[in-house]
Order: sequence, then structure tokens, then C-alpha cells
Amino acid sequence: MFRTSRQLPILSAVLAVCLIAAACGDDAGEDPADSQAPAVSEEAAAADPDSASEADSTAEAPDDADTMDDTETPDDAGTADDAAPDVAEPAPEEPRAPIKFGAINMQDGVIAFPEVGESIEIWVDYWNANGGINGHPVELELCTAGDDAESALACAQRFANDDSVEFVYLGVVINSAAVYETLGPAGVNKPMLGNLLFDVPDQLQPGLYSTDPGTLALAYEALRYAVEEGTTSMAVVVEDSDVGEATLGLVDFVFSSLGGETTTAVKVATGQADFLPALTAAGVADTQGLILLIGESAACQPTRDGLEALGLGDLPVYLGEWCVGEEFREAGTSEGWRTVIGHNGPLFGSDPDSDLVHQVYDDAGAGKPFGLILPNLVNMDFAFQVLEAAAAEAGGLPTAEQVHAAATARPYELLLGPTVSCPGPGLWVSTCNSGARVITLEDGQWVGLSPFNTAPMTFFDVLLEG
Amino acid sequence: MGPYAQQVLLSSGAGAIFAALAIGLVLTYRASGVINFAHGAIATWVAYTYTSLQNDGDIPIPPLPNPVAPIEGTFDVEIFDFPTFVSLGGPWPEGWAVLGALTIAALLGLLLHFGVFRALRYQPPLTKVVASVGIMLAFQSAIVLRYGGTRPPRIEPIIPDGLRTSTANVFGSIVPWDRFALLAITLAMTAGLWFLFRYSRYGLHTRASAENEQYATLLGIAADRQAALSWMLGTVLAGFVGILVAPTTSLTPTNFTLFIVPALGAALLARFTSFWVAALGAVGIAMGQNVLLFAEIDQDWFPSLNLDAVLPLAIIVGAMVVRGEVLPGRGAIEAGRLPQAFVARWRPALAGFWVAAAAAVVVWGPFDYRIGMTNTMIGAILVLSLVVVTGYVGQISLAQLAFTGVAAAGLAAFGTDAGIPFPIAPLLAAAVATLFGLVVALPALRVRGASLAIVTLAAAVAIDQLVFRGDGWFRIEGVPNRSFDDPSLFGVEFGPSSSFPINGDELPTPAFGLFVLVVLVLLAIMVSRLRQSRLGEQMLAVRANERAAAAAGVNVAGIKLAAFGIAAFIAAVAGTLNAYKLGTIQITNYTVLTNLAILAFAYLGGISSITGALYAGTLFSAGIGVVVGEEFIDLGRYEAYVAGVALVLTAIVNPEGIDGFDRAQRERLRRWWRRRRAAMAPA
Repeated sequence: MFRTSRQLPILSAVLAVCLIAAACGDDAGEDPADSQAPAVSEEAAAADPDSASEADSTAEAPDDADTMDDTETPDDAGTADDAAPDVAEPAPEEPRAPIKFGAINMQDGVIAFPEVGESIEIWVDYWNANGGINGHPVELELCTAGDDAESALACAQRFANDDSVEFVYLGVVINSAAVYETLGPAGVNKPMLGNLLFDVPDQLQPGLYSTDPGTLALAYEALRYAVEEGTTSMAVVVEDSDVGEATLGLVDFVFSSLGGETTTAVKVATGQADFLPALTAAGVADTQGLILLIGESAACQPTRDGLEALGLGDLPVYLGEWCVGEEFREAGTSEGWRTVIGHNGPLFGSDPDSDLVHQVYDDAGAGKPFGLILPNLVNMDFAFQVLEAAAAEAGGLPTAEQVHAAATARPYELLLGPTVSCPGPGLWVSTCNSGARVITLEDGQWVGLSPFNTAPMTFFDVLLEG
Repeated sequence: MGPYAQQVLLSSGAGAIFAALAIGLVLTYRASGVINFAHGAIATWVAYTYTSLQNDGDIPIPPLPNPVAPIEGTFDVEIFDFPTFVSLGGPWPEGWAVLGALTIAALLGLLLHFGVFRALRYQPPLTKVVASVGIMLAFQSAIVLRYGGTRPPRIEPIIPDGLRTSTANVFGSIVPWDRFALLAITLAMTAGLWFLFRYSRYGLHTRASAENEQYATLLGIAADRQAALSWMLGTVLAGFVGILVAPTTSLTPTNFTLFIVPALGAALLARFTSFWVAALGAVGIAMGQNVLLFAEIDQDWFPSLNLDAVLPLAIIVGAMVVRGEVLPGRGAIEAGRLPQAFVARWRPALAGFWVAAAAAVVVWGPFDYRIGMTNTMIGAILVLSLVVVTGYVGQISLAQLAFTGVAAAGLAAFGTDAGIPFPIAPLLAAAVATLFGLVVALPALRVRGASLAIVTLAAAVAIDQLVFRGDGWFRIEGVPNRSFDDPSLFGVEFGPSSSFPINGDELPTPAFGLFVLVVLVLLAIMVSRLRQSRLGEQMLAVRANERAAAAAGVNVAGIKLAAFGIAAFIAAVAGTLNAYKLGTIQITNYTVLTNLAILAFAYLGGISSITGALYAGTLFSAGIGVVVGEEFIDLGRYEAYVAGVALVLTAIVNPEGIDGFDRAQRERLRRWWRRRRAAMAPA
């Protein structure tokens, strides 16, 4: 019937054109996941963490902890020279050349993290509103990758070819191997800042500087804390993936070396129909605790429900930060669980850095920062500190070598996190931060249980054997 | 009671979920002859709608064509925009939210029938598979666009709290009551459908239409209305299942689509006919999975091969192979033919022009175009493999990406690990992938049509679990830092970073693109020669009618094996080229469900011709078509959504694909020219 109709193909073509055209339209504000990059307010500017004058006048990178002081006066991209007392009317300074901030984030496709891309834009705006990098405005060039390797590789090659991009920031790039191959020492050797260390190869990548502790360090802190609080027998539920496989080996090895014992380990695929059989197979009823090494937020509530159903709602559960989101706090999903994180993001109200991040997000009208946004913001701030140090050293726009040098020159105190230094220890070169801490949800509020503790990364070398 | 029995009891939750999806698949197939790969995505959309209604009183609106968007784009003004959500005034009570979401599900069913599948009644199974894949992609993308991809929404269970918080003690095994409730509801739905189809007027008419639509129509049965009702019932069922089980599974854009694989297995076991066999088969699969999972943990001697993910499907494949039956055909519905497999006419000037154009783009083109052309050529090679196995022989394969993965893993094993040089390492890798292709071909000797598609998808799952994630040489998961050196022959390198006199300082250098072009040309010639050869004629004979081909002395089994083997080899070549392009190997590049998208793109290009493969290549991720499109229209996050909708439209409007459309237009032009010349000629 349709095939005999002359109108249908025309109608379909018109519909298709309209659909495509509609897709191309400006949809800002339509979608909760949309990128919005509003200007940061004056109030946020008043909380300037890193004034350019400080950066110019000292080789030290700005200290985030110190700069949370709201009374600090913002510096409108001026330098220490501007403040010279013998100049009656200082001539307006030439605007400095912008620093191109090449960034890759996985945000097109079915598996996507658009909120991380949005956080990159918000933080660049925030820094620009507060003087940029050593007086240089930051020009963000965000290359959006899909959930395939081809688009991530294309982004990497684009930046590899662009001489004006001296470094590349990685938001969340899961298809990272080809990116590393292109941008790392095997390729053009441009510094890569950021990325979340989901897989073991991410933690071993030369030329990559990340503040994410990675699953291994997080798991170590969880196990260490468990032993400290007397949990010496645990079941393990781990996602069936690259990192899950590696972490499974680690858990056995580390926990036994700390004096604990894993009773049973169960691997679960992404998109589990029902967590209950896996929890039961893991023998949670016969252990003192459960270590939950999942790779998606979707597993949080089913795990809670499963444990409740088995009458084990009070069982200590040790896990990463997938269940830290606001919705889990409100629903009480993570109540009492020992959540290991590499930053202080959730500790709103009790940590000045966290307050600042929430303030910036509020001012940007972007809702509450959650999930992977928080570790990404730690990476972003680290990247800016490194770039500021490199720019100060260069006296202008830094080169790739200068960014490499700045990244490894000295320790940096992280926004929301501990002090870190690059490269990471031993083979774990990209793991600049192996510090993690345990927090818990207590009556709907996140509270710290342990300070940041550093995992002995070289201890994990045994995992790489064979 | 032992722990194994407890695992069996605990399977009731997962079993109910698989069963509920499986009976939905059977219902849709019985009503319209469509194996609905989008069933899970529809369930997800309706469940998300329920959460929106319940939490905020909103209804999500999928991206719609804006009629004035071209004007807006041209003049850079905003005249009109569709809302993304329609607010219905605050959160809805649970019951009303369920009712609202199911009403939307029913409307979706009507839309799918009248807008899509009614038009495809007379099309071959492949066309329907492609349309359902398009719908699946569109729904998944719409969910990501409206809700984001990573945060599960808060979903209020519709099962009473009393059942959710209390447990049954079955001979010492603790099982929550809500799992039994889920199973009971699913079995009740199964019984309802069985009763409806067996005893009601609706069921009788639907069965009559399925047996012979023409005769049913002559008897006064409105087959079309029956199908519309069934689609409504199918989507309402899917939506109800989504709402019912989402608190157990959590809600993500892809969860239910992943569950569709075991559900398809159960439906296949039931020959897409029996609701009871499908439901019980699904429960059996869940039980098998849980028991095997536990056995891997409990028994030291039990092999750690992820058998829980593989064995239930393997059993189904085995059953299909042993039984060797196709899906029951819907008597009155004639399966349309696949697109024509034209003999490529050798036109050196035209071929030379296109090769020179491709070479020029690879050497002198701007960055996006260079990389787009390379991706296109590798994609075209992969689609050439489908031209052989599906276009020429009519066997739907959803395992081609798995063969590329085997080849890439082989290249890592032989080249990187063992140090075997180019070209021996990639050839060895391709040989191994060809062996895999021959093994996957075995079910094709007994199974065909859409059921073969499911069986090959199961084979892809098996390769993923046993080969890519299992212990062995070809393992990909968790093996760090396996990179590939640029290929070189007689001292000349032709990898992505190999030196080249022109544009040699930019990545990827033209050397690799030219290498890929040479390989593509060689394979295109090979496939063209194959089409013209005696083997090619026999392949087409098998595609047209297996029995007639056998009667004419064609060795049908041999032809199928040869086609799968050749196709696997070609896919393996694409896999090794892709590995060289990426410079490394990572398991996320070989996701099983990507096979569906590859088949769909191949179909969109034109699955029966070499030109079609080239067209399809342009549509691949970061291919030249995408690059050119983005030059003028930045689709951004809407790319996957528009691709899904385009697939559906192509299946309806132009089932011969872009190549077929192109040929038809050229033919029309020729006829017009002939008529014009005839009119102008002196009498």
C-alpha cells in the first residue's frame, strides 16, 4: 500500500529533513543533560581560588585549601606588575593570547557522559571568570566522542595534528587505548591530563596524569578500612569487565596480606536481571561484609533491596562511589555503607572545597554535581594548576614539554582531595593520586570515616605478572 | 535444601523477567511476523515514562521533526520548538501513572503498526529485522537524550511493600515473596495470552490471519485490525513488564535490550508460537544461568568459562540445529525478495575515477575527510562480508563483528606477542577467523531466515564470553598494552603513522589510507568475480530457493559453508585493518549488540551489491558520509537517534537501500532520455 503511494517517499523525505534540522537546532535548556555554560556570578568570582597575581608572583601553584576564603579579593586578570605604586595611571594591559584547552569527552551515543562535558565547560568558565590561566584566557575546544573507538581516535588525531593544542584533557574516555597510542609517547607525546582510571591499562599509561585513584587504590582502602574496623571475612561481587577481573585478583591478594579472607567471589555482567542470586551465591549470609565492585549506578538500589530481602540490611558493604548520587542519598540506598572515594565531593556542608563546587554549580544553574562530575572536577582543577605552573615557567603559552615538566615538577594540593604528585609510583605512572578515604551516609548526611590514606601502588605489581 | 536448589528458587525473579519479555516477542511475531528486537527498548521507554509521570507528572516527548527548522536554520531565528517534556501538573499517584504509561504504550503500538510494520508486511525477514533495529536505536537514543545515560531514575515498585519486604522460607532457603509474585504475574500473563489466543474471537482471528491472511480476509476477518490490536497488546505488555520489573533490575537505557538475548532464545525454543514454551524456557534459562554461575564458584573442577552466559544459549542453538526447523511462516504473507544482486559491470574509467578520488581524499583531503575516508573503506570491507553471506546467499549473520575481534586478537597473539611479521601475522589471524566462521556456519545448515539471525547472535555472545573473556591466546579482556606496529613490507611502512611524502606529518598519514584502499579494491574485485563465477551463481540459486537449488544439483551445505568462510575471512581483513588503525585492541570495540547496527547499515547501503557496501561504509562511525553530513548539519548527540529513524524510513520507503534507490533513479533518467530522444526523432 505504501509502496504504491507517490506521496509517502516525499513525505518521508520532508519529515527526515525536518527531523535532522530540528536535531540541529539550539536545544539548550530543553534537556536535563544539555550543556549549559552560563557565566559564573560575581559571588563565585569572589571565591577566586587562584588569582593571577598570586600565580605571577610565586612559582608555587595556588593552594586551594587556602583560597576558599570568601574574603579574598578577585583579581581581574591583572598581574603583580599592575599593582606597582609608582604608576599613576597604569596603561591597560594587552590581552594575553588564549590557551587552547583541547578536551575529549564521551558524550554522544547510548553510553554517554554529557554531564562530564558540561562540568568541563562550567569549570573553564569559572576559571576564565577568575583570570584564566596566568592571565591567559582559556579557549575550550571540546571534541565529543561517541561510545565507539573510532570517534575517540579521531578526536585524538585531531589534537595530535593541531600544533596550537599542546596538551589534551580527557573527561571520560572509556575507549582510551587508541587515544593513548596516538597522544602518548608512542605517538606525538602530548601531555594527557585527566581521565578516570577505569581499567588497569589506564593506570600504567606514560604521559597521562590523572588524579583519579583508580579502582585498585579504592579497593585497597576499602579492604584496609575493613580490617581496621574488624571485618576480616568478606564476600566479593565484582563486575565482569577488564577492571573487575584485575580487581578480583587484587582483593584476594591484598585482603589476605592484611589478615582478611575473601570467602567467595562472584562476577556479574553489566545489566543484571536480578542481583539476588549473585548475592546469595557470594554467600553474604556467612560473612562479615561484602565488597561490591560494580561499574554502574544501576546496581546500587537492587543490591540494597537484595540485602534487605535477605535480612542483611546492616551488613557492612564496601564499595566505590557509584552509589554517591543525590538520589541515593535521598532514598537512603547507601545508608551505612562504607563508600570509598578519592575526593571530598559529597561532603557538602563540612568541606569548604565541596561547598565551593556546589556554589559554582548553583551559580551556573546546573543543578547539583553528582557521580562522575566530582572526580572530573578534581582532574580539571589539577589540570589548571599544572597549566598555571607551566605558563608561569614559560612566561607565556606553555609548550607540551613544559606541561609535562610542570606536571611532574612538584606536588599539587587538589581541590576536594589530598596532595598528589606525578608520575605515579613505579609502573603505575599515570596514577598521580593513590589516596582514598572512606565515607558513609549517616541519617541522610555524608560523613568521613577515615582520612585520605595512600595505597602502596607498587604492592600491586604482582597483578601484572604474567 | 541445598544451595543449588536455592539458586533454582532464586531464579524466579530473572526467570520472570526473561519470560515476560519472551512472551511479548512471541505475541508480536504471531501477530505480525516481526521478530521485534526493539521490544526491550519499548519496555524501557514506557518504564521511564512511568517514572516521569510518578515523580514529576511529565510525559517525555521524543525528538520530533520541527516543520519550521529549515527556516530557523537559514535565518538563525527560533520560531518554534517542541517541548522535551509535557507537564501534566505535578506527580501522579502510582495507579494513574501506570495507567498513563500503559496508554502511551498502546498508542506506541498503534504507531508502530500503522507507521512501520504494516508497510513491511510483504518484505523479507531481513527488512523487518532492520526496521526493528532502527526502532531500538531510536528509542535507546531518545531515552539518553531525555534522561541522560548514567543515572537510574527513582522508580516506585508497584508490587506491594508487604511482598517486597517479607521472605519465604522454602526448606531452609530464603526467597523474597516479590520474586514469586513476579513469577506468578508472568505466568498469569502467559496463561491469559494462551487463553486469549486459544479461545477468544480475537485469538481465533489472529491465528487465522497468521495461517493464511488472504483466506482470513475472504472470511471477513480484518487482519489488519487484528495486527494493530496485537501490536497494542504487545507494547502494553512490554511496558507493563518494564514498570513491573524495573525496581528489581534498575532502569538504564540498555538494560532491557540486553535481556532480550535470553528472551529471544526462549522465544526461538518456542518457535515463536507457544507462549508456555517461551515462558517456561525463559525460566529454564535463568535457572541454568544461576546454577552454572554457582557451580563455577562452588566446584573447583568446574571450568571458569563464563558458561552461565553461554550454555543456555548454546542449548537453544543445539536444539534448533537438531530440530532444524525454520520459524513457522505466516501463510498468506509472501516473503518479499532481497534486493537484487547485480553483476558489476566493468567500467574501467568510472572505477578509476572513484579510486583516484578516494586516493586524492586520503592524500590531500582535510583531516576529517582523510580519517572519514579510511573509516569508510574499512567499514565497506566489513559490509562486503555481509554482501557475500547475506546478499548473495540470503543467510542473515549477526556475528561479523565477532570475526573482526577474533582477527584483531589473532593479530595481537601472532604479531605482537609471537613476533610474526606482516603479512603472515594478519593472514594467520584471518585464517583463524575463517575457521570460526565455518563453525558458526554449522547451524546455518539447518536453520535459516530470522532464526539464523538469532542463532548467529548467540554465536557472537559465545565468542565474546569464551574467546574474548576466557583464558587463552585470543583473550582481549584485561590484557594491557597490546599495541600493533605499523605494517611494513620490503622496508616500506604503511601504517597510520608511517612516513609519506605528502601530508606525512599529520595523523593518520596517507600511507595507511592508501594501503586500505588497495585492500578494498582487491576485495571488491574478488567479490565481483565471485558474483560472476559459478560459485556465485550457485549462491544466488541457494538464496532464491534452497530446494530448487538442491534439485538442480547444487551442494547447498557446501555453498553455505563457503559463503560463511569467505565472509568471515573478509570480516577478518577488516578486523586486522581496524586493529592497525586503532593501534591497539580493547574489548569495548567488539560489543555484541553492535552487530545489529552493522547489519542495519549494510542494509541501508544496499546489502546485495558492492556499490551498496561502499554506500554503507560511508555511514559507519566517523565515516565520510557522517563527516560530510556534519560539515553542513551538526547532528551532535542526535546522531544515533536520526540514524535509527533513518533506518526505519529506509526500510519502509526504500527497501532496496541507497544503492537500489540510486539505480532506480538512474534507470528512470535513462528511460526519460530515451523517450525524449524518441519524441525528438523525425517521424
